[in-house]
Amino acid sequence: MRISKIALENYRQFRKLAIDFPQHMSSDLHLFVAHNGTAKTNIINAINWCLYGDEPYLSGESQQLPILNQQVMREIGDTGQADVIVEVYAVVDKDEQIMFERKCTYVWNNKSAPMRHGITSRVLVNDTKGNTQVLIDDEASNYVARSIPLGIREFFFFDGARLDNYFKHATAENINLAVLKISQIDLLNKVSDRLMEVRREIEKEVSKGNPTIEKARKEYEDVQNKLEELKNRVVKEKEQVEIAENKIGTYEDELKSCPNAEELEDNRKALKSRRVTNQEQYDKLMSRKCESLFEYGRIIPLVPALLKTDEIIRTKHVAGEIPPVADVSLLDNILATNKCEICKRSLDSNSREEITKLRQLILMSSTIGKELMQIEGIVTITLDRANRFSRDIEDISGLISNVEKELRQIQTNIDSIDSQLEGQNIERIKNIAEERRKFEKIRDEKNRLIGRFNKEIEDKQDEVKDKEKAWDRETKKEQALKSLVNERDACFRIANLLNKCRDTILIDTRDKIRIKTKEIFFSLLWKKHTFADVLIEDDYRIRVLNDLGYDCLGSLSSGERELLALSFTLALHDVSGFDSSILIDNPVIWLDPEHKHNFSNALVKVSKNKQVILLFHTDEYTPAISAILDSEAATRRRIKLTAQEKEVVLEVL
Amino acid sequence: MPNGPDHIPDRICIDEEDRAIIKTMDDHPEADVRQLLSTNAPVNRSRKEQFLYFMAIGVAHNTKLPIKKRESGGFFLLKDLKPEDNTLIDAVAIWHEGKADVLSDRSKVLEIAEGYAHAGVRFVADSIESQQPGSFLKKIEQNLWSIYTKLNQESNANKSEK
Repeated sequence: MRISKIALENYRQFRKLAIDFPQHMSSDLHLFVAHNGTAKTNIINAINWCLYGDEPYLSGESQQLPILNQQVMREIGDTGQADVIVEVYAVVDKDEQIMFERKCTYVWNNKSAPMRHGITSRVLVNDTKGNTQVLIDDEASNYVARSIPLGIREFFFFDGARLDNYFKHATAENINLAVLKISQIDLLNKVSDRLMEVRREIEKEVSKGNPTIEKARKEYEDVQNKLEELKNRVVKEKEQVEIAENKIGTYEDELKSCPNAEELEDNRKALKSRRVTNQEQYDKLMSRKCESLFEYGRIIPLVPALLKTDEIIRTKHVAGEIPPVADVSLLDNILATNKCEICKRSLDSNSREEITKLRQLILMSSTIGKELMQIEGIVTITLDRANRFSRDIEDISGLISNVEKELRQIQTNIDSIDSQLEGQNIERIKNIAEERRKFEKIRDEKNRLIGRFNKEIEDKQDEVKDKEKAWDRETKKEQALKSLVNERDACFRIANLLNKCRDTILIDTRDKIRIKTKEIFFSLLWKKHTFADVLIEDDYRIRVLNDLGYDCLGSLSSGERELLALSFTLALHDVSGFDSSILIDNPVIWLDPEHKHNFSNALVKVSKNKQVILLFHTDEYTPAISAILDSEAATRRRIKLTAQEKEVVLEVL
Repeated sequence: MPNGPDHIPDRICIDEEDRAIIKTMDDHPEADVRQLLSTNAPVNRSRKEQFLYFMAIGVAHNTKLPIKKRESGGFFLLKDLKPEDNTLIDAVAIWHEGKADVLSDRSKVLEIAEGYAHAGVRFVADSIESQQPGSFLKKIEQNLWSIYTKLNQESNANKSEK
């Protein structure tokens, strides 16, 4: 199936637009180039909305807006009604024409938000004989589910920007599901389920009229119902997990281009708190330094004076003047008796005056000696203290310098965070991160539940076997019911056979997909010698072995990863017989220049046999890419917004 | 000759004009100045501490100025001086006179200290006025390092002479 046309009316930024996809002689390659915010991704959303009624790649901004085109509301006025219509035209097997259509009517009054009034989906199938079959709503949905099942849309709507999630989300279960659906092996499942239903009907017949059998049957059925209930709950929980995973993937994509606002804000908060602490520490240290400068300011200039004092004290020690030894009692006696005690002569006035002067001199010398003795110790201590100036000031200056350095670093980090957050809608980023966390929590809770249910299922399965045996024993006692029992057993055996058959086909299919994936991967690969093999495990885990035989999936470049995902998708299409277009949004956005070049060449090769629609961001559509793709492209168009930026128009390149 | 107990002063005095200058330091707009010298909270320098600092600055500049008009009330009481404070004052007097005999004249010792403090107040005031905002403490530190380095050089020279 290839898309021949998409028609959009009043869908988001698309006022009225038809996009044709004519086939080129040699290839079926279609290119779109657009700036950010010009509704490029909404082309994929429009297709999804038309087919499945949802918009999985909606950006954060678009989520806030109604699906109805804003311009049409302005044109109609405060009160009015308008239809949103998306039509996807496709061709199957070159002859059969199909049109998928979804239409939704919106009504608004007095500037109120538009309310949805009815939604319809239609599928028009024109067969080769010219007959048109019209399928509406449920029939239309069933047709879509049969031809391009929702569960496997990621195998034809290919988002280059979500490649990292591709192998993460493409788990064994949904790949298995995809293989089952697109290769229509699930028909076997349906037959098997029907047989089991028939078996249950027969069992009811068997047990009629015999209370013992009826009791055993009921017990079996109760346990069986509980088992089914548990299985259904697991399926539902898995659906929830998948929804959560998709949501997480979407939020991760949105956050990819944004800074981690929450973490940055937390860091900034922590840094600011550290800055306060460091500033306090700095102030304390500065205050300590100031104290020291004041203290030493009172001592250092006095060092010469202290040294001089110290020198005098030492001299006086040497001269024996310290401690003072003067005894003036002899002179006091001479002055009292007015007679010299040595020569025994009486004192004349001159002698008396001289002795009085001598007495005063001795007393003064003694006083100074005592004073000097008192200050001697303090002088020494003060000089020692002065000697510590250099060490003390250097120590404290070192500490201050460290804190200053740290403060500068903190400020640099805060500035860096500020610049990262500048212009960002932090609230929005935080909300997205919060939403992602919410869904991560849901996913984890659901996974825990699934684990618990699986354990219960194992127990219940044992119980079912026991009950079944008990019931079987009772039934076999009734010879009259032999033929019914045989029928019942036959149903069971056939269902088992069908399941085995299905499993064999699945294994066979998986092996074919592996071979085909490897073949395509190596045919498109630019560094063939680096890799030796591509393996697909029982659980559909893909492994790529390098030339030394080691699994190197984790170390593949983005380009190689994208190529592997594309190869796997093409192999899946090929093996299952499912043929659809491939749409790739941002096909080379995460690739380095060399891989961009190689991957573009690979896409050209693919487009020789399959419709490939590529939606480029302007920045990724470099002259080098343009040089590779332009000559091969059937159509090349630029998506633009009108001057009022409310309506999308296409410009042919 | 030592004076009798009746003549020993009981307080340290400053020049009348110095009072106003010191007051401007208490409330100076520059945080550096307040942090070093203010008698206000949170620094709470005492008058005695201020005096000893100014005296040391006067000594650093080797300048003693005679007090023109002694402030009548005094700057602080001598009883506030601890032995280590008196030691600094005595050392300045000894250094100024070149001999220890000055210690026998307490009035003289105090007069010398007051003269150096008077000069110190003026040097500090000039330094505050001439500095760029925020560089006062740096200048103080620089001066201290310069004195310290010079003293070390002299000390080393003396050692090598011996």
